[in-house]
Order: sequence, then C-alpha cells, then structure tokens
Amino acid sequence: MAAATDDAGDSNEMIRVVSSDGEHFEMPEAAANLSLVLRHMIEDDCADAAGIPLAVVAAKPLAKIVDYCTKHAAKSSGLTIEEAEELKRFDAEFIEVDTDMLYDLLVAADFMGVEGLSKLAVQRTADLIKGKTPEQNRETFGIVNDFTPEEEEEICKENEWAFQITKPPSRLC
Amino acid sequence: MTDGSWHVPEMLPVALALNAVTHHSSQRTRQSNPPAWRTGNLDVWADEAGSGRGRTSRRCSISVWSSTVLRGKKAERRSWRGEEVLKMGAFLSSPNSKNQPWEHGEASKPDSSKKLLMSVPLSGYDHPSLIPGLPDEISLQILTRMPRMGYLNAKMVSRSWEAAIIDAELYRVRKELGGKVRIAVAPAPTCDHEPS
Repeated sequence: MAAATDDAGDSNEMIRVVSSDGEHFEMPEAAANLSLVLRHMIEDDCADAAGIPLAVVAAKPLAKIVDYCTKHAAKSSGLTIEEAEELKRFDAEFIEVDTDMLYDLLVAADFMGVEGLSKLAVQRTADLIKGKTPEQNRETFGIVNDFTPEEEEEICKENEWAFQITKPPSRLC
Repeated sequence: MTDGSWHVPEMLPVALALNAVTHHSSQRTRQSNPPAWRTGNLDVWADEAGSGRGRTSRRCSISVWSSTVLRGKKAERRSWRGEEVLKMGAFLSSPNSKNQPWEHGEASKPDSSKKLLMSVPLSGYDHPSLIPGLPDEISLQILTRMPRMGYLNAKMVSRSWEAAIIDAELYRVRKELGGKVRIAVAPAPTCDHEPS
C-alpha cells in the first residue's frame, strides 16, 4: 500500500514505515519529514530497509497519515491560490471519518508529531462538539452523565443569564 | 475513635490543616503530569511550631483551602474544630475509602514550618477521562478549539468536562493558541480598467 508520487519534494528516497500490526508502508522522504518523529529517525540514520517501526500506530490510521503527508509534502512550497484551495478541499474530505478513525488519527498524529494533521483532527472534533446539546455530545463520545439531577439543575440556573440573550437550548433549561 | 483507625495523637500540634492544593503545572511539565483538575489533593499539615504547646492547648483546628473548586467558586477555606477533626480523621482512614490517604501528591508546601502528614487525592485516580478513549491532553486541546459560547452546554456534559471548563488551564492554553492563529489575507483585487 505504498503511496508515492514523483513530485513529492526534492528527495526521491522512499522511507519505509511499519505499523503496529506489521504492515509496511512507503512514502517519500519529504512526506516523512512532516512527522517530527520520522524526521528525527531519518536524521539519526534509523531509516533502513526494514522500515521504521511505529509501535502504537495501526495500519488503518497509518495508511491515512501516509496519504496526508504525501499530499501535503507534494504541495508544500510556493502554493498558488488554486492549489491552496485544493489542499483545503483535500483536508475537508480527508477528515470526514467516523469517530473511531478520528480518535486513531488524533492519537497517531500526536504520537508521530504531524502538526498539521493534529490540528485538523482536533478542529474536526471541536466542530463535532459545538452546537450540540449535552445529551448529543454524551452519545457521540460515549460519556456517562455523572451529574445528579440537582446538580444539573444548578448548572442550568448558572447558565440562564446567557440563554436569556440567545436562543434557549433544546433541553432542560 | 475506634481502634485501628487513624486517630489524632496526644501530641497533636495545635493546628492541622487539610490543604487542597491544585497544582497548576507549567506547560513544560504538563506532558508528564496529570491535568490540573485531576491533581487536587487533600493534604494534612501539622504546625510544628505549635507542637511544644500541644498539651496545654488541646484545641485542634483543621482547614481546607482549594484554589480550584469544582463548583466554580474561586478560592475557598473552611475550618473545623475539635470532634469534627477527629471525625474527619476517621473518615480519611476508613478502609472503605477509595482514596489512599498516605499517597503523596505533587502539591506544593504552603508553609515551611508545617509538616505534611498525609495527602489524599481530591477526585481520586479513577476520575473518568474527558473523552473515553482519548488522552486528556488531546481532549483539552479539543476543548480549547471550541467557541467559548459552546462552553455553557459543554459544562453540562459531565463532571470532568465541567471541571476542565472551569479550570484556568484551559484559558491559559487558549491564550497561547490565540497568538498563533494565522489570518489569511486575500490579495487585493487588481483593477484592469480606469474608472470612468
């Protein structure tokens, strides 16, 4: 499942990485450099034919990360407005994933130090939270409501001042 | 006091203080430490200076300070005396208690003349994570990326969310991120023809 493009950066050397479940991936060095961890490994000459093992990243999120890095490395410098727009569209489509994959991407991007992807996934999750009722958020993220009804009522009262000037929330208050 | 439980010794110093100190770790150490709202500890401090007068003055007092209080009040201090201290001692040593009274926290010592007797995690280490399946460091980043107006609803999700949103740490991180937001500036439209 190698994701290689000829136009990715000035280096044509391919970097091999190995997922936690033993699957091998290849990406151009310029793409690997977007990951802080991989960049340091490459600088320390740890990138050999056997591949860099990524112990906490499974094959599925790693495949997505390789795609992301390859795309972004290919368009890293001298972007025209059209290319920037295209990259933005790519990001928007790329991050349209289910919650499980989003979690995997968040953890993997954080572990590998891919800053752009971290920000993208964090922003996507924040967008999922905003504009939802507490109950919807609990459902989305599997959170247990550990408030007593009295405590819930109290927070509602605390929030009342804000909802007097905006639209009232759909539940409780 | 019943046998086998923790009791206030005869030579108890004049003052005992239960000190709930929430340790606001710096950005640099945040990776290795639990988030601020999970590091609250109840620390029992004995005033050593008063130990010499322990027999003459049998009065005990106990105080709780909390710099971050879950219900949103800024700083809180409570005091108890006499039997209440003894009752609290029994509670803290209760074998049914989930907390480990002798576990030392990272709380800073408020006064060098005082000796740390015990430390009890305020919320316990079984505190549910903000988003199950995600490390709290990442969940906190997510909360910092939300619009502030969403915090009112987010506060009602669970106790850990409420605690995180009340915590000053969130706003400190927000402030740091605030300076890094890049503003895209579109190029000025070019005018090919002279205005008539």
